Amino acid sequence: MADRSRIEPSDARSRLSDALARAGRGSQSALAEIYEATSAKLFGICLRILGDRGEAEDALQDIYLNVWRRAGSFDPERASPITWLATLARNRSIDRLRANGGRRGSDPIEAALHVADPSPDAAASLETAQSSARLSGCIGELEARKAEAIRTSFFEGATYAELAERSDVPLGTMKSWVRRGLLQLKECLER
Amino acid sequence: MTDEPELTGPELTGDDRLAAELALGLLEGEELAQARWRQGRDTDFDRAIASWEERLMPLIDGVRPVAPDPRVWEQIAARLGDREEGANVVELRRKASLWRTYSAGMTALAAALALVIGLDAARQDPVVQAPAPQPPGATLVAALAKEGGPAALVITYDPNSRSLVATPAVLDPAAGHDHELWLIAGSEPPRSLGLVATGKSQKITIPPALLKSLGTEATLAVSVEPEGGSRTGKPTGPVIASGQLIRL
Repeated sequence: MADRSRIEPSDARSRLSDALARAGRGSQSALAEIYEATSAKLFGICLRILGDRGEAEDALQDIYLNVWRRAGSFDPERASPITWLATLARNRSIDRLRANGGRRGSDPIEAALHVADPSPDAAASLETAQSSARLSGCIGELEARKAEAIRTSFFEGATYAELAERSDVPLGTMKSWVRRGLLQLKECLER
Repeated sequence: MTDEPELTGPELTGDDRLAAELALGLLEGEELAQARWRQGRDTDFDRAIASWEERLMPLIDGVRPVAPDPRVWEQIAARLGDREEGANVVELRRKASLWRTYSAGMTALAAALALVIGLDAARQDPVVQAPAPQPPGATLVAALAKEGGPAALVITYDPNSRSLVATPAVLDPAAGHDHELWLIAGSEPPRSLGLVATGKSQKITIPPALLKSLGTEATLAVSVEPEGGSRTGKPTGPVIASGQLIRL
């Protein structure tokens, strides 16, 4: 595995799109490139959601086999490659979490996972730091309960019913919180 | 302004709300099934989902990258050898698109073929069947896929045995889940045709009452359900593949 220096986001993005297109045509070396550039990020996502290293490794395997099968359907006009990959990783991990009855593991590694890595790998540098900072800023503007509900749903795939139960509020109240939060978030991001 | 400005005020509404809720994973049951159903069929809705994924994905930036064990890649690489699977899918898609092309311009031939198959069936099976319901006389085929994705399942209706043959291409339900096949005729609610086996071809006998619904107006769909199938008689999980029956 070659040492990778920091890549400009747009450059990395087009490289990744290109590798996905080649993987879609059956190139295993293209998939290897994608794996090299993104596996640490996607594994981080799996670990964050599943909280168990073994589970996260199994999920990661599924994810790249899925990438292999579905790379041909990736449309660079519609999504950024890292968003597409991260969405696959997140959805697959959440499916797995639900299949296990929603029980997260509790690997100690989890404690450190909220911390942004000071030396992100190629994939992490794909998305500009600004979009992350803007989203954090906008979530920070939300009332704490709304922000927490959105975060919990994002990282655990928690449904309205589960969120309502955890916060001990009626289902309708939770729906209102989240829907208001989402509108505020959208408006903030469009400012 | 009220006492609690943060807890009142306008909410996200309409399709944009549904798209956000689907992207986040907030939905379940009927609402989830319906939203999943529209995914891949409704371009505007798909775009709204993609927008929400783009909006929310920066949350991931706060997740620390962790290098996986090198053995994970070895295991992935070993399974890429199943390239026949990929080749089959390409072949199925090619066939499905050929079928579509043929079916567009060859209605007359199809009708003639149906007649021949019908006659043939009558010759092979002299036992007189009950006159109603009237099953389709032609071989029908559906390639089930998520839009833009590879065919996950090919289903052929055999008028001789009045049964469906399901040939899965890429279907692997997560642990604790099964795939259930549904028949949707026109605007009628989906009706279950049972569970779909993975990895092998399977014959599905159609309940006599459903035979008349089988035709080129019908859509077949596969949803993810709890082990053993949906407990409500309706699809409850995401629809992962669907396709319309066409005459072969």
